[in-house]
Amino acid sequence: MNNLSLSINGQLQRVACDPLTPLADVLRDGLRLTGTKIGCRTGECGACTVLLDGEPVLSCLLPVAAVQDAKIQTVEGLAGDPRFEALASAMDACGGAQCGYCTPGIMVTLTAALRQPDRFAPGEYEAALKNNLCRCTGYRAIREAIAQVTAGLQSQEMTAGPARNSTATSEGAEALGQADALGKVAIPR
Amino acid sequence: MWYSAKDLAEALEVLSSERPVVVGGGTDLFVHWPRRKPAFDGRHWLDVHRVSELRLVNMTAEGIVIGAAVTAAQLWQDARLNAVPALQQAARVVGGWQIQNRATLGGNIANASPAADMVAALAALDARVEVASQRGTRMERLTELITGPKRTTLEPDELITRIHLPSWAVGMRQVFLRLDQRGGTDISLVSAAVALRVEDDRVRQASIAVGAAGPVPLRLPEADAHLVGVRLGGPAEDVEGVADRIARAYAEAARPITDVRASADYRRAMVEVLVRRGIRRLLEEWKG
Amino acid sequence: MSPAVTTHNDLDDKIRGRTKYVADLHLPGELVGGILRSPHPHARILSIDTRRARAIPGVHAVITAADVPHPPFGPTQYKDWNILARDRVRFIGDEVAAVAAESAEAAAQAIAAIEVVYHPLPAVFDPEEALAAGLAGAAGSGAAARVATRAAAAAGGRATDGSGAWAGEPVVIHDETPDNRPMHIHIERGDVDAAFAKAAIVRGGRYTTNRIYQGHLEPIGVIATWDEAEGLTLITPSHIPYRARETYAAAFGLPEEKVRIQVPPIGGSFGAKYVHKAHLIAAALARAAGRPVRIVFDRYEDMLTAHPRVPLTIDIRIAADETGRFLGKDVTVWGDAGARVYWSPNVLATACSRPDSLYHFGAVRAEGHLMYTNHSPTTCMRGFGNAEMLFAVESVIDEIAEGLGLDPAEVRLRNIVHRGETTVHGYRLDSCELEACVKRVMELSGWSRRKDLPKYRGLGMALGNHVSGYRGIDPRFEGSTAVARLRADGVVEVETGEIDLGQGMSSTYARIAARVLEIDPARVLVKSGDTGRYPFGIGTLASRSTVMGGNAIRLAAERLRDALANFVAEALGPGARFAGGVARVPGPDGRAAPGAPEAGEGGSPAPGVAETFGKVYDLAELARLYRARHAGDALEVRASYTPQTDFPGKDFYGNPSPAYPFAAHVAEVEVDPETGRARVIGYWAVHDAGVVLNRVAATGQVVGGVAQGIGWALMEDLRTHRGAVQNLTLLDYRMPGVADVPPVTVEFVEVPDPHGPFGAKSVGEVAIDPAPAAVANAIAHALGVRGHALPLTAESLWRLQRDARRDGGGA
Repeated sequence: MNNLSLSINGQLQRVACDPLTPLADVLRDGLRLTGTKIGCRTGECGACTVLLDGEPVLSCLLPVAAVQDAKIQTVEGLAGDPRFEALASAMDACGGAQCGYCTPGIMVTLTAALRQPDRFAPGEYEAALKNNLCRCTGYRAIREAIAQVTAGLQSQEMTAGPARNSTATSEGAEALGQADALGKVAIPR
Repeated sequence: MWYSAKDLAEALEVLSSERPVVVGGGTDLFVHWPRRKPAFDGRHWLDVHRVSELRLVNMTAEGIVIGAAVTAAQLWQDARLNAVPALQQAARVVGGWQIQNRATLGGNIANASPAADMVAALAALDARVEVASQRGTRMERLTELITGPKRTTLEPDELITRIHLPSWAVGMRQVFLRLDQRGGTDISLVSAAVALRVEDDRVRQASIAVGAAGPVPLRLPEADAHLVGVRLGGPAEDVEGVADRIARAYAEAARPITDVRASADYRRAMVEVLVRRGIRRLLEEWKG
Repeated sequence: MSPAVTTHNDLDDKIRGRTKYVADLHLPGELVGGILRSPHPHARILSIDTRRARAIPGVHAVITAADVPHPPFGPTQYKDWNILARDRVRFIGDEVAAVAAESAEAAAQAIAAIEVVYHPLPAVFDPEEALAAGLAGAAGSGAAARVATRAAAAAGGRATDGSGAWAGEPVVIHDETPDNRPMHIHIERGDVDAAFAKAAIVRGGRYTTNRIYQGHLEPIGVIATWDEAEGLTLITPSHIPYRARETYAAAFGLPEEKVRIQVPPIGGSFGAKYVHKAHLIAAALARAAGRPVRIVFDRYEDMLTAHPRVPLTIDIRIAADETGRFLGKDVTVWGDAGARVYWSPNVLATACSRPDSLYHFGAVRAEGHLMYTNHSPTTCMRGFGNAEMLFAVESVIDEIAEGLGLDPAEVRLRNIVHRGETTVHGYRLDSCELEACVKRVMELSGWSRRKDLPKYRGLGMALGNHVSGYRGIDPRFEGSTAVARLRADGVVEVETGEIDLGQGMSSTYARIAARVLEIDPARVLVKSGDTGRYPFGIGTLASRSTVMGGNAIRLAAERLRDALANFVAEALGPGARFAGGVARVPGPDGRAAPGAPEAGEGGSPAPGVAETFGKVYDLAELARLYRARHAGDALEVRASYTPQTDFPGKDFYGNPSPAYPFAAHVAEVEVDPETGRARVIGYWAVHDAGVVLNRVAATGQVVGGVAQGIGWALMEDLRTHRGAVQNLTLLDYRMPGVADVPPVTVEFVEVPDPHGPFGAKSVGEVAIDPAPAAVANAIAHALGVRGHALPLTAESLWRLQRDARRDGGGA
């Protein structure tokens, strides 16, 4: 047992645990941050993705001792981030989650990708998802959500210039496609 | 006990005294951790990912020096390493983005998996590995450091510190190809890295390595030599003939295994396909 | 004015990581359970010594067969289950003993400290061999020989290379079933032999489908508590909790009312989360320890003991005349049930019959053998036998088309079912837009370019059908019950016994209730998933939820609407009217207030309207009025929907479902001729799901089904060797990643079904039914040679081409 201090979602947290405990377990069991899910523990499914100094990593493969001096962000800590919020609205509208178990990991990965547009060309954000598996959606709705967000970000840059503030981003989110409304379907009576 | 070294001296001291398990990114060591943990009972651990000496990439007159703790993501994101595209291509297919953000070049070598993608690329580029301990440092060819599946010449007190790529490898035409079975994270059934130096429309130097088709990366310099002197823009049959001959030589020399992923037969046939493709791609389609 | 109410959005919770799955829940005082599993595929248990395990600090309970009851029970009519293995283990992973401890580490230590002495027994893994191995013990083995002959006859005249032979000692897996065959079915209509005798063409062969892991991202888990007064409570993601309750009550000799199952959000199932031994073992541990016990599998244990899709071996022949019209179909199916019966009988029966209500085959015959083997038990997965059989049927249809020089789409169009028909097994097709689906998918996919595609590119078509609920699930009844309640805040709460597993059921139900009540769907809250609180439901299987549950919701909402209308007239005067989600009282001039809000705008009147033209009451105000007149009680109604369907008898004849969905799919593939690796590069799916109530969810179901079908066809396979799964990780069990699934074009042909709620039919399973076949047909088109065994991996396609070249007969 060691006493470790971790920077999680902008807060210093002290935990007492075996230094080899995977970060995912410390987050989930010790800190009750259960948005980080455990799907495989072998590095394939991506459900446990968190940000380590802004970069997505798999928290099931990370001994907690290795991240003591890093800034850790979980899905809970991304709320309010303009890119996360735009993506959350788009995922909701497009049906990007079904059972939802993989979804927080996908949100974390894609939020990181959207923050690093130089690493992923607009049509290539899905390359960022190689380490995330989804069994429900067939990925189409997730692709649509990415496309809506990147289109929103682009149009926002054209109209509002490079400055990215939360107002501009939420406008981007407003422009997202509409979920189906029952009223669109002509229902014979 | 978990040691987190700040510099190389500290790391070597811990290695010498505690004989710890060295941790780079941990992406292999901590797979299925709760089930593996009992096997590591009582071991010490040395985390080297913060050792600054191990995180540098230097372009020198002798070539490129890459620190052992440089991650796969850093490799493909570092514009200077565009000079070694085979290595960048391999770094970008290892796992997915999350794995690439942690997996280190040194860890990939020390783990000595026959299917390690970056190792196959490094083997074709004739990488040498710098190994340090409190007893001193030594340089060893990558293909000699790795002696078999999960086996290396590393002593318990030794640490991989840097990987050296020779100057001739810089700016060569090169390609890394792998055969996997899906678009998610996967392991190579077979991989091949091909590097060619072309001057005045002739191949002056050729270097090929094949991964996942034997206990260690497969290299056949005598076969590679058939490429030297081949003229670009010459008759297509010449290029095809040489490519076929070399590809067959690699397939014959391969010692693949049968496992749940593929049979030895298939792997051997795919060695031929990948080597031939790599050569032809560099000779016929290269857009440098 | 009513308070603003934001109803719960479960999708937003999932996206933000706020949803609590079973692994995220904890009960005070809970212990961690662990299970000791058999390392042998078949062995006698000679002794179990738990003394060392009990001595480990932190261990509260160690149980074996001696500590649990042993009544005959099981989730279906085959009562071959146990809580823990007594005397004998029957597969690798069979549950032998269990522990409950303060920590996972202590539990693991205790498991390791239990000493079991086994005497290994001969084991059998092949379903055909299983019959012979069982019969080998019976007097004379003539029966085994007869079975082998029958299989050979069905295999298109092709000998089945001695399959069914068994040279070893007899193997009987359950003594009550000496031939190892818990189910043996024959379905025959018409004169099959005569049909084949007059055929212009017969095609067929042996097709095999693989052991598909459902691949739920959330591993199996449960938290059990046992209280002598309250009974057993299980918190676990089961989507048939009432059947699970009945099964578990029988196991422990409890009345059903003393077993309660609470269902947290389900992190994917696809058939894996029906009933599970881990539930029973957690319950037994909780009783023994007197504390709550949680068992949450890791991926290794989940895959080791996975109860995958039932692998089928299908010998099939189809006969047609020279115009491509089918004359007869003859199949023999061997299903590998593994060592216990979960839902494999239903899967086998579906495989033997369902495609016969997609095409008119003429005379049909099916023989199905469900076989015990020493594999881990197999069970259902989306598609449920139909997708498996369609892989064989659709492959053979393409071969017939090729043999006759006809367009495979044309052959299909000549034989498909239509609205108004009753199929050979008695399915009444009161809606069917299959022909329109085929024609539309041809347009969308550019089917006419099929003949001009470059080498190694292929287009493949396959069709599919399914049910919307299946009468045969429970002999006693079918249907669904819903409760609708007006909450004090004006939100309409709807309770159902059906279970949402991420497919969008709750959101569809909210739309149905909202449509009846003419209110915003956001003001409807759908609740389900607790057998102690909500109405009975058969569960989410057989694509039931939209039509069964949806009709119950519609009926309950109609009752609530009528009750509100009566109440409004009674409480607000005879002129008052309930419409558009509000009550309007006539103004002084006798007219109702104009300008009242339309449905979809929140149900509150615009400010000032009431004062000017007479009072408008929204649902919150009506709720207050109602409670004031009914001693505080809320307005609540209840309704059951019972479909007019037939329970299929021994002859499997009857109309088992109120509504049948259909689909036509086209896949486009490109195969690397040197490596054999196939990639799906285009996919088009046109569905007849009746009227689509929830387009985002319905589209998501189709695309998700297609993606699973692509994985099934190309890369997924739980490989076993002598009963042991060889690829126990998500690295080596390859499910499709984003790069493996091409853009999928989805369209619906929307014509209302007379029985579905607002004309809707199911979509969840029919989404996957044609997919493996469409991909396989596209590959056969690309290569000119056909794979008969799923999955069609790169290596298998490489071999197929190599063998075709060697035989000199390949295209």
